[in-house]
Amino acid sequence: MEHSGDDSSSDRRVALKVIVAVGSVIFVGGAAAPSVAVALAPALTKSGGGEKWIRVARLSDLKENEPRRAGVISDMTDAFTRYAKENLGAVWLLREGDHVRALSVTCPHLGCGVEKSENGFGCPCHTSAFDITGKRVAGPAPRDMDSLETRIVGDGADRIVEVQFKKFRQGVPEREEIG
Amino acid sequence: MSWLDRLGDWLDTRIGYRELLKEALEEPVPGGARWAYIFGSVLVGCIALQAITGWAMMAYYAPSATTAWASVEHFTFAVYAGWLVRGLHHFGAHAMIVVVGLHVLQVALFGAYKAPREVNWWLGLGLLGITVGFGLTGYLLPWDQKGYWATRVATNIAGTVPIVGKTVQRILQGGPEYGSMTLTRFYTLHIAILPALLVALLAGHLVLFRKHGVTPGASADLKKVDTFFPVQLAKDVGGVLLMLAIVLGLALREHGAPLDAPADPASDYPARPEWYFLSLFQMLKYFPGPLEVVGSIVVPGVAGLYLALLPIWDSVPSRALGPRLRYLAPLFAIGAGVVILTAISVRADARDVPFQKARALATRRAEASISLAKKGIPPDGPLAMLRRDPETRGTALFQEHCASCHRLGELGPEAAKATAPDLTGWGTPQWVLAMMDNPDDPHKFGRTPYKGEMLSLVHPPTDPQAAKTFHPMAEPNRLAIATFLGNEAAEVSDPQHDPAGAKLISVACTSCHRFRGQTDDDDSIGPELSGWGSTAWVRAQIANPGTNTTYRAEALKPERKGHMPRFDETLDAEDVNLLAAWVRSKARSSK
Repeated sequence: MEHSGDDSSSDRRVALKVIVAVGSVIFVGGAAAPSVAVALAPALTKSGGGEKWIRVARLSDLKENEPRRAGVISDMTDAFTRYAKENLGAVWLLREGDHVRALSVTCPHLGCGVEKSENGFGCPCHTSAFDITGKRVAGPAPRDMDSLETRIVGDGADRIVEVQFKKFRQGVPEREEIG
Repeated sequence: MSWLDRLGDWLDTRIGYRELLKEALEEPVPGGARWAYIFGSVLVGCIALQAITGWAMMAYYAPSATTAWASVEHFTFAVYAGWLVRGLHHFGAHAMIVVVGLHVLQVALFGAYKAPREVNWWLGLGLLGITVGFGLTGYLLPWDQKGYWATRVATNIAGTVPIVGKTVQRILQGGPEYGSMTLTRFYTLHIAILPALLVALLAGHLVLFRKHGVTPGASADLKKVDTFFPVQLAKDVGGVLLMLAIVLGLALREHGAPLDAPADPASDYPARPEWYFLSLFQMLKYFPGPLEVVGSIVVPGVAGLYLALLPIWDSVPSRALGPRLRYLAPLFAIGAGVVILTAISVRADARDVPFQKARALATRRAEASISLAKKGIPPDGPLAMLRRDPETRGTALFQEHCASCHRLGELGPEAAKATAPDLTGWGTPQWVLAMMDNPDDPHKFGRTPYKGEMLSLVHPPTDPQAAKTFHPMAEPNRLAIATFLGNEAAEVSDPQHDPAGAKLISVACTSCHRFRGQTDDDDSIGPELSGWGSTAWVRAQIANPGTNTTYRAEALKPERKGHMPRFDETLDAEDVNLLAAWVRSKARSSK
């Protein structure tokens, strides 16, 4: 057998081993890198931002101290599909004179839908409780309910409540917008 | 002893990996390592590349008739590095076909199919079939025109098989017609069933390969023996890297993989299969009607049967090439046939002007679709998106309903075959001036039933009697009329624009034409000139040319054979509106 023998042959074998090892690493890296990039793309791409006011209610339909749930409906793009008038989420609306407080129905704990309770709001999943202004009272929620910016447009009986709908990261004490 | 060795010992006493590694890597290669042996390993490299890129694409792909094209478009143009992954998968598939061919050739030339390796040859043929199956099923998945039409031809061929054809086709398609169920079936085959079969057959193939070892060439020096690792494996890795470099190079050069317009069952599309099926495609052209099945099933079937029986038929004990040539002759004939038929097909397409024209149109439609998709694709899918796009829909409607008589820019029949006025530039003052100069020009009314109805305002009539009383219209007046009509067509908002032009028309043209409903001759067929060339005028003309808004009912009498028909009975109002706006704007902007 030729390969069992002198030093030059054994040097050659070492060189070939290095070629195999390096070559394999290059192949695996080259073949997989673009796919890994594609798989990680959602974490690497920045999104969100932008300001969009969405009408959610008529001011005259809201009463003091009586929170009302309103669906947020607007155009939406989900990956490749452009939906016209799709449900984006919902908010609790609370009239305070000529101002309206809007609270996201999404529990800041782990994202269940917060419901109205006797003294304010409560989450049906892990029993976090909030007062009527969304302030955390009890339970595992790490922060108050997320309030959203609102504005009133129009005049007289046709005054319309608009909300700037945003979503926030759950399970953390600080409010952090997600795209 | 280093901690690495100790860890190795610990693991080895538990799983015995060193024995396995030794077994795998120290396989002897009798006759020495050769470049000729690399193709199997290169194929494993191809499979790995296809699997990795395939998994990445699976994470983005949505298999239904309304979402498949949209998700592929999104992946290609919106996802970071998506185009590159698709490109690697696309050209990786091509590489796999090429390397399979080389592998079969090497095995055949070296006589490696001979006893005791027959079963491994058959497993290899099975793997060949699976590779082709991957190509066929993968081609459909983007649900674009190219894949849709090419794959439909393939399943229709399956449908022509006697007795079982209809059932087989239904099973493949997931129903009587192409649709979402076809996609989910092809997807299941492509990502689950074929990969499972591939892994099973490949495992068997490798086990048997190891059992019998490499088949050295007939003249190899058997005293020389290399070990698989690192001597042969280094060559194999070289081959794999070369394959990756070529695939990557192609993917970069072509900037990914092509994506045609979304599959449209109503379109006419110049369907061609991928290049590795072109020879089969070309062969079908030589078998007319009832003999079709010979080209589609019998010839490929006989070729497959030959390959399967080769190890049994070729009973020559020697593996030298000379004595085996007669057994390999059919293989060379198949190879030559594939090359020749492919070349004929490529050459025929390159010289086929209508095909090239249709291909160019398809490319434009693909570009338009991709550009529209950037704004998001509606939930009812990309075809609905195209239907709502005035440009695409307008072109399609014009092609279908107008282009057999009218020319407009590049669209429509050859100039000599047009039987209606050329609409290129229609609605512009230049067009009006040319019309006044020679109404019977072949591009105007010269090839229509209205030839001779309008007389030139510049040149005397051929009838000498009439020529005596002829006075050409002064150029400034013609210009004024052309400007006025150009403004009407431009939809100038002020209805009182250019009163001088309007006055000239009401004096000089109303002996034949209508103008604002007025005419001196109720029997004349000259069309209404107010609003001429506007969207409303075109809309009325398309819906029904005989309502006085454009022409009079007289103009549509049956004796005027070849006059423009009304379309309000065949097109709905929405399409008429869209087509009118499209024709007007296209005519004005084309030269």
